[in-house]
Amino acid sequence: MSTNFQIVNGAFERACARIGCATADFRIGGTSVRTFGAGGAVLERIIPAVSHLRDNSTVDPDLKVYVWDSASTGIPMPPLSWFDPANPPATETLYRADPDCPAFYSSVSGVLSLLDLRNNRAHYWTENANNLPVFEASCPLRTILHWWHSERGRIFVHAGCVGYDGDGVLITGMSGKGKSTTALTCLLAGMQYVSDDYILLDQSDGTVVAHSLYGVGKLVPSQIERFPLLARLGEGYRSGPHFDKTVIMLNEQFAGRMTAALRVRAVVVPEITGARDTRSAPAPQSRALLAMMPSTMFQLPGAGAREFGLLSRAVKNVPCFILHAGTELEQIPGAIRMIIEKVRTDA
Amino acid sequence: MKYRVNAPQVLYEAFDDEMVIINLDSGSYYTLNDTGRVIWEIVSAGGALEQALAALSARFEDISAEQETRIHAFVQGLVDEELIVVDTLSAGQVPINDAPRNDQRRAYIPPALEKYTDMQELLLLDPIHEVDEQGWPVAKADR
Repeated sequence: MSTNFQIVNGAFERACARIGCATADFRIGGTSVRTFGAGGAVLERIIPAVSHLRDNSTVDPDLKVYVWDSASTGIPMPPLSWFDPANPPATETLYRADPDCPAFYSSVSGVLSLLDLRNNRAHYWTENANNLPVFEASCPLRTILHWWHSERGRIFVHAGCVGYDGDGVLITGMSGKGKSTTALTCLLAGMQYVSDDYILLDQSDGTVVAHSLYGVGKLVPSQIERFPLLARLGEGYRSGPHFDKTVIMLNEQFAGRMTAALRVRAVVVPEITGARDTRSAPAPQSRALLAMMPSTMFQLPGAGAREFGLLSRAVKNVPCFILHAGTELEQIPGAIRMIIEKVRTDA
Repeated sequence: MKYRVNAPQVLYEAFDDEMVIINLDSGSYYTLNDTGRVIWEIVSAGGALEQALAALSARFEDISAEQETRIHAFVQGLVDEELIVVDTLSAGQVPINDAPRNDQRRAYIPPALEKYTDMQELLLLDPIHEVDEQGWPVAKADR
């Protein structure tokens, strides 16, 4: 264990001794994750986004994550050799000084993440849990889960996933291209829902599987009119200019449609056409990589050849389709079902 | 002149008739058409430009001198985008696999490099800085 990690551990233990420790277990991507919350303030903020993955069967967790803040525990983050909590960096900063213990400070979220790769333990700290931005609470532990799963051949992907009867499609593309609209329309039509934003991709057994990470949906202002029901459910969960989205806890509102994992049958790249009708067309697999790779790679601190290789392998294992999404949104779920059906038939 | 891929910041993946390339430092990503892919696979592996021209000649009908000049410019474009760099260390020929027979040759299509810069805005908004061994954040060039 690195010296810095030991120092943070010591502070966390003092926080627990002072204010108590709560735990919550989750099943994420087929692995067990136990979170320990000093005092519970941070834990309470991040649990809602992953509550659909709660799991009470864990005996010996694969990964332990210690989540805490200084404001509620009264225990400050000690200065580390590369991090001064009194003067944190003003930019997103990746610390690679210790290869077995990467760390990342997000100036946008105010969160410091450290992962002890050898001992499968991590810290997720912020100065004040009450100041944790809504967007961070909607997709917490990203960096830790990305690093830890990447070591095991699973990759955090910027994509949505919906489907039916256990089979699904990855919905991918840059923000504003119809990814969330497609995923949320399918959810409202009764389809199984994994995510509209991030999934964990596993292809260890020869098939491509998308695991659920966050049971949330996100609406940008231009989508509010299209999804009045979701917009009402998301009232009060909207935050700043940096992340002007309304967050809906879908795992609470649509618990029956949340799905832990779907087998990925195809990659779908939506394009908003402005025409009335929706149609789909086969596309080269390179198109899937082009749609999925840039925002995935650049959102993951430290992503490199390994993540690029995993993504490339995945898109070569399934066909790709362009979804020319029309203005009549109710046509979209049918088009997605047809894609899944076609791939099943062709298989 | 020998070249190599500008690793580790440049990553690429070949598909049947296309190649996808990303430059993690600049935030730009690219596609190459089939002709560009053939040139890339030889030149980026240290093969001489003449080898790439030979491989293209095996695939395509007559390539004019003017088109050869454009191929030189195309390779220089890969250098200008910092996707490949001059390699002063390695030397030697790169094996050219499965060159089609002459009767399979088709009309020449010039190499094309398409550049996408839509991620750069995101990188400028939230640039990730990396800390080196000295323990102090160092901004990566062009990020």
